[in-house]
Amino acid sequence: MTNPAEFTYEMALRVRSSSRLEDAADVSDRERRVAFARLVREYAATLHGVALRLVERPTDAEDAVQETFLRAWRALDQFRREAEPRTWLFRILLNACHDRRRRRLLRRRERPAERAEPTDPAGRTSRRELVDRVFDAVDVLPRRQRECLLLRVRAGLGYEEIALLLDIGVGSVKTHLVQGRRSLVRRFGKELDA
Amino acid sequence: MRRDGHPSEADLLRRSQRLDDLLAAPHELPAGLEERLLRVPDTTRPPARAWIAAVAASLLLLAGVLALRSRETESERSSAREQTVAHTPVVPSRRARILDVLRRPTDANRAFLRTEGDRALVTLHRVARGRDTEDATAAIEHLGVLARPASLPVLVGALRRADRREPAIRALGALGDGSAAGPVAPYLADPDLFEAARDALVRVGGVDAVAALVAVLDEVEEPAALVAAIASIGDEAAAHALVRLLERPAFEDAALAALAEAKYRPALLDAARGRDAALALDAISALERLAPPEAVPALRALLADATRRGPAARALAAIDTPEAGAALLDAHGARGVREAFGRAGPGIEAGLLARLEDGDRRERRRVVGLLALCGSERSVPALLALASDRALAPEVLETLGRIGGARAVAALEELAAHSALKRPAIEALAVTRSVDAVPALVRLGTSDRQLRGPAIAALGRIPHAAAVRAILTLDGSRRTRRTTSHVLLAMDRSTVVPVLVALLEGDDAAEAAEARRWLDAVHP
Repeated sequence: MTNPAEFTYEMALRVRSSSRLEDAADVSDRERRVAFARLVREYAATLHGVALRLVERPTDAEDAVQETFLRAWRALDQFRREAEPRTWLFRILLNACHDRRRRRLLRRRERPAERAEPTDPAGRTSRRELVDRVFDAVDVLPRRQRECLLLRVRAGLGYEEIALLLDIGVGSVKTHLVQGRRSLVRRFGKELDA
Repeated sequence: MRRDGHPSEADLLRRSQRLDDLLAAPHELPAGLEERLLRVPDTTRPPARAWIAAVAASLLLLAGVLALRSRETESERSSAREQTVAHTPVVPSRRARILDVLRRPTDANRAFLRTEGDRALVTLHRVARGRDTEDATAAIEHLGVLARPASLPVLVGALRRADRREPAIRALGALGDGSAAGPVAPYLADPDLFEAARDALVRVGGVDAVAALVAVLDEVEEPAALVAAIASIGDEAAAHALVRLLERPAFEDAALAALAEAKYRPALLDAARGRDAALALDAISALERLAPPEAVPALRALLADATRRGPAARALAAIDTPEAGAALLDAHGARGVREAFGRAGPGIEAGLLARLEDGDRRERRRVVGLLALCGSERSVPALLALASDRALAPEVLETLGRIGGARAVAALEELAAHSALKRPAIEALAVTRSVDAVPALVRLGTSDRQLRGPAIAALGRIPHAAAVRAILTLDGSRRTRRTTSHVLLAMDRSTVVPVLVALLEGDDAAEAAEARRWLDAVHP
């Protein structure tokens, strides 16, 4: 019996790669739960941070993350060994977010209220305010640029992983990234020098 | 930073890195979300077990539903059996049920009567003839609702009883049988039953009913309302009656208003073509007053009938469409048709002008002659263009003269510029008999000594003081004096004398002497 405290993804993958239910049943429910809990603790915040920028409402982002882990739990046995758990989770998340976006297609996108310019007499912007404004600017980027930027910078995925997730070429990923970054840098200019 | 103010590559790189730092800022999950996510395994079974559970649950649900439905069906059946046993009614006799219907006319009872149909007739007839007036009246009313021809004798018989007469009359009307008109018609004379009889006859319709209604037109207080009632019948008999009423001034307007309804149009056209000559002439007269464009083909056909040609031509002229004009033009040689052009309006004139462009010279000559009857100033440009044809010029000039008015006068003066057309143009200006032609005639008479005499003669045909003054202006030689003398003598004295008296009383002694001389000649 494996010690739950030492349970790793590799151990879980051993179970998931099995094509037979009998083999899967060999892994105890406790082991599954421990593996799932580690997935949640490691990736939930990143997934939520990305989801917030891919759907229209914070509640939708929470729902998308919850659905991601729900599907992950249900599909634990179908998870392929060759895939990274991170890529796997982001694939589920992107699908969940796209589903929500489609459902709200006819509704007007709820943009965050335009934030006021810095009120500091010296013109300095606090880091928190700047982060908020940068994310507001990310919200209005074209969809592909936004996805590439978030998956690359916020989720830390590699170009190949992003290309696989978005079903586009690696070159396109790089192009979207460059365009997205350029757009933001141009918009914030010297504010980013501080 | 570069000197030109643009960021350098290093600046851009640094900003880009700073942007990445900001975007990668740590993010905290909303409160409670992690707990909810960690509870997912507690609320969800892994898929392998889930589908087995789902199938099992579905099977259980299906079994439950089937069992419940089976129980409900059994319960309903037993309940229905109990109700059938408890509420089986005792079936009354048909007569009793019908009497019940008559006395309590509820919706259910009426429905029963409808479903009974002819099976109820015998009973209803018996009740209608029975002694009980209340039941009989109700039965008669129901016979009207059923409206079966077999009820006619019973209802006619009911007319003998004063207490059942009005419902019987209404029921006979509901039957809609033409043979009911005779028995009902006498009750038009009864003030109490007039309304019921009128309504019944209107519903019955046909020759007899219409004749009965027309017969009392002179006796009623509101004949227009009765004419409208006749009009509401809408059949051929009513149409013929309305056409004949056109000959009676008291009902003429009401009848014409009724005949204006589109439903009477076919009957009206049939009457116009029918064998009854008097009716046909009335119908054509109605068509002339209503002027429906769809009557053109029928009226065109009637132009071939010598007895109806004149009225038909007038009706076509009243319709006044290019089609009507074409129909008249095709038959213009026939007696009675040419006069109709005198009544034609702009529609027919437009048709003639169109024919003027298409036809050959013979056709044009004919059209020009007809435009003299119905043309207006709209025809002047086309006629002016046509005058270039030397063969047609005399007819054109005459037509322009008949049309008259300022535009025609101007056209004639323009044509008078051609030496060959001077005299015909002067003659045509005389035909206008319009004061508008006076200046033109003076100009023509002044311009050419040879034309002075004809101009004076033409002015003499214009009954206006301005023409008299123009004559005296043009009279200047011994040669014209005789003409002037004849013209002034031929003119109306009431036109000539005031002009001469005015000159006599004027300041110019020579004019006064001349006026005295002419006054002595005209009014010795």
